[in-house]
Amino acid sequence: MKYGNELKVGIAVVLSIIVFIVGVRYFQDLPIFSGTLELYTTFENADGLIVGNPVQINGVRVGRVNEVRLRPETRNVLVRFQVDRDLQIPEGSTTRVSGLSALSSVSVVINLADARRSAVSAGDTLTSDQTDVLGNLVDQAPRLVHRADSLFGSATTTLNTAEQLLARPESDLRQTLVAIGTTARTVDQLLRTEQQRLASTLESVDTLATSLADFSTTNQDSLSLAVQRLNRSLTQLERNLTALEQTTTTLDAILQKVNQGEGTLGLLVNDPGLYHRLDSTTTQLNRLLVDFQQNPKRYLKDLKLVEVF
Amino acid sequence: MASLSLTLTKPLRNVGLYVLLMVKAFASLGEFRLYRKNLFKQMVRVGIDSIPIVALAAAFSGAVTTVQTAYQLVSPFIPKRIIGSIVAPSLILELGAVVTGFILAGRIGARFAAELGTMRVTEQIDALEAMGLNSIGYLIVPRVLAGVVMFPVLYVVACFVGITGGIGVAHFGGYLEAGEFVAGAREFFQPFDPVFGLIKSVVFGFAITSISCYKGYYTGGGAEGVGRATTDAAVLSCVYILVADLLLAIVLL
Amino acid sequence: MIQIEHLYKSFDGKPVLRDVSLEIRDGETLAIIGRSGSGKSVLMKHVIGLLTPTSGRVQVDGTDINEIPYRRLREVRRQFGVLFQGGALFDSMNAFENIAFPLRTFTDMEEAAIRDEVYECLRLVELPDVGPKRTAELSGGMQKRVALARAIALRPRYIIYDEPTSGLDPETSNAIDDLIRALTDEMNVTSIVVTHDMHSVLSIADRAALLHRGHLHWVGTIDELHASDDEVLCAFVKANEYQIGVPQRV
Repeated sequence: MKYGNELKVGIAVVLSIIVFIVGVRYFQDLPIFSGTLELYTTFENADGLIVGNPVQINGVRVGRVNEVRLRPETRNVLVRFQVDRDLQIPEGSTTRVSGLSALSSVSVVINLADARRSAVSAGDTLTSDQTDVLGNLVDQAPRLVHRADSLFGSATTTLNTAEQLLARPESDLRQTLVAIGTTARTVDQLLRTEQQRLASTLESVDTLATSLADFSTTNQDSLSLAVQRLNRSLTQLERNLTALEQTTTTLDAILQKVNQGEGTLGLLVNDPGLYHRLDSTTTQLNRLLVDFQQNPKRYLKDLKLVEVF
Repeated sequence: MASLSLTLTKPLRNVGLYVLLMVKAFASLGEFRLYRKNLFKQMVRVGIDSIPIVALAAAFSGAVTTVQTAYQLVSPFIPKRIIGSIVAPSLILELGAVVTGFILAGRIGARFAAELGTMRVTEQIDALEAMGLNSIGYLIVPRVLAGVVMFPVLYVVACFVGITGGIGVAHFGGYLEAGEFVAGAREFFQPFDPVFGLIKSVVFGFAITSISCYKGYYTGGGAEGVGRATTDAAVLSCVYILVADLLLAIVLL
Repeated sequence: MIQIEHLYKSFDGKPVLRDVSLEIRDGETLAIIGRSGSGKSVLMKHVIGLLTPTSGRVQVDGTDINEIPYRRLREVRRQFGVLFQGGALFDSMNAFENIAFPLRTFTDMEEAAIRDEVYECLRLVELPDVGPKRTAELSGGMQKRVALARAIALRPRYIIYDEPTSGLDPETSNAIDDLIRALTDEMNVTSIVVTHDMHSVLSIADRAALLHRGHLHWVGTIDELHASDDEVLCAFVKANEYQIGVPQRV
C-alpha cells in the first residue's frame, strides 16, 4: 500500500466533513438528504429575526432564515430563507414574523394559501402579512396596562376620598347618609302611625258600610255610587303604600351596604346622578310625607263623601 | 545588570524566534514535494492514531456533563429536555475542542518536542540542513499542517462521540429520553456554534503543533534539554489552548 | 576552493573564533586539529553555513555563502557531504533509507537505480549487508560508516568529517581512516577532517590547521608539522601520542 497514509487521511477527512454537515443539519432540524428551496419575503419590522431562525408551517420547522438585510431605500427588511424542496408552497402564501426575540424564539411563519394553486419556485418572494396576534397583543399590552393602571389609580383615589369623607363627620356624604337614615326612619314611623289610622279609618268605613247596607236598600243608586268611589280611593291608597314600602326596602338595602362599607361607595361618590336622584327622591319623599301629613284629605278626598253623611 | 537585561529581553527574543520560525515555515509551504510524504505520515499520527483516545475522552465528557446537568436540574418547572440544550452546546462550543486540545497537547505536543529535540541534539537537523534540505519545511511544516488539518477532524469525532455518549447515558441511565435530549439540543442550536468549534480546533491544532515544534527545534543541552523541551511543550500547549480559548470567545462570540 | 577570511564568531558575547583565515584547496585533505572547545566544530559549521559569522566571510568557489538567499545556499550545500560526530543517522529510517534519502529527495532517479546506488555506497563503506537494519541496531562504527555512505551518496565535491574516529576503538579508527583515504582517492574530493586524533591526521591529511583558543595557531603540511617546534603544536601532538600509546589501559 504505497498510498496507505493518504487513503487513511482522506477517509477520515471526508467522513468528518460528512458527519459535520449531517450533524449540523440534524440539529437544525433540516432534511439531511433532500435539497432546499430559497425564497424571499419582506417585512416592515423583522422583530429581531436573525440568520438561523426557523421557518415554520403550522408550527412545524421546515427551514431556516439565511439572510436578514435592511434595505434603507425601501425602508423594509428583506429576508432570504430556505425551506425543504419537497414542500409545495402554493402561490399567494403569506409570511409573518412570530415570537419574541427576548425569548430567542423568533421564527418566520408561512401561512399556506389554497393548495390547488401552483407551487412557488426558487427565488420567489412571498408577501408578508404582518398581523401578528401575539405581536399585536404585545403592542397593545402597554396601552392596556396603562389604562388598567389609571383605573386602579382612580379607584384607589376614590376609595381614599370616600374613606376620608366618611371619616370626617362634617362631610357631605356622611351627612347625606345620615339624612337618608333619618328620612327612612321618619317614613317608617309615619307609615306605622298612618297604618293604625288607616286601620281605624277602614274600621269606621266598615261600620259605615254596614249602616250603608241598611241605607242602601232605601237609597240604592246613590249608595252604590258612593261605594264605588270609596273602593277606588282605597285602591289608590294601597298603591301609594306599596310604593312607599318598596322605597324603604331599597333604602334599607342601600344603607345595609353602606353600613358594611362595600365598594359601591366609590360609585356613589363617583356618580353624582345617583346622588342627586337619591337626594331628590328623599326630598320628594319628604315633601310627599309632609304633604300627606298636612293634607291627608287630598289623598283621602274620596272619603269626604263620608262626611256627606 | 547584564543578567537583568537578559531576563527582560529573553521572553521577547523567544517570541521573536518563534514568529521567525513560523514565518520560515510558511515560506516553505510551497515546497509541497519536500514534505508531502511526511505530511501524510504526521496526519496519520496526529489524526487517525489519536481517534481512539479522543473518542474515549469525549464519550466520558459527554456522559459526565449529562449526568451532572441532570443532577443540578432538579426543579420540576424546568423541562428535562433542557439537559440536552445544555450538554450539546457545551460539547460543541467548549468541551469538544478543549478536551481534544488537552489530549493532543500531551500526546502530540510532547511527542513532537521529543522527536525534534532528539534530532537537534544528535545533529540530525544539522545533517538535513547540510544535505541542502530545508529542515523547517521538511520537519515543521508537515507537523503543523497535520495539526491544523487533523484537529478539526478530531473535533468532529469528539463532538459526535460526546453527544452520542451524552444521549446514551441519558437514555440508558434513565435521566431522559433520547428524543427529549435531541429536541432540547435542537431548541437552542445555533449553526455558528459548530463553526466556532471548528475555528477553535484549527487554532488549537496550530498552537499545539507550532509551540511543540518550536520547543523541539530549538532544544539545547543534550538529553536533559530534550526532557525539558518535552515538558515545556506539553505545559505551554495547555496554557496557550486556554489563552486562545478565551481570546477566541471574546473575539468571535 | 573554500576561503575563510577573518572569521569572528561569538555566542551571547562570548568569542569562540577570533580572526580565522584559512584556505582549503581543491583536491587536498585538510585536518583541523585542536583541543576540545577550541572551536573546530564551530569553524566546520561555518563552512556549510549552518552558523553565520559575527563578522568575516566564507567563500565556496568564490561565492560568499552568507550573502546568498537560503535557496541558493542549499544548492551550495548539496556539493558537500558531511559526516557528523555521532553519525546523525535519521532514527526514523533504516540504514538503506538513510542512504537513499538524499537520492530520493534531490534526484529524479528511479527506485531501482536508487537501490543500485545505495548498495554501491554500502560497498564503498564495506558494509554491504546492513541495509534493512534500523540505526539503533548498528554499532557506533557501523553507524559512522553508514553515515559516510549517506554523505557520499550524492557524489559531493567536498566531504567534511567531524570527529570521524572519536569514540571508536583504535582498530575501527584505523578502518575508518583507511576508508577516508580510499574514498578521497576514488572520488577525487576535497576533504576537511575535524579531529583531535593525531593518528588520523598523520594517516589521511595533506595539511593540518591547529586551532588554539579560537585562533588559528598554526597551518602547514604534515612534513612541516613533523619539523615544527611550535610549543602549542608539540604539546598537542605529544598529548596525542601518549593517548594513542595507552589505549588498551583505558
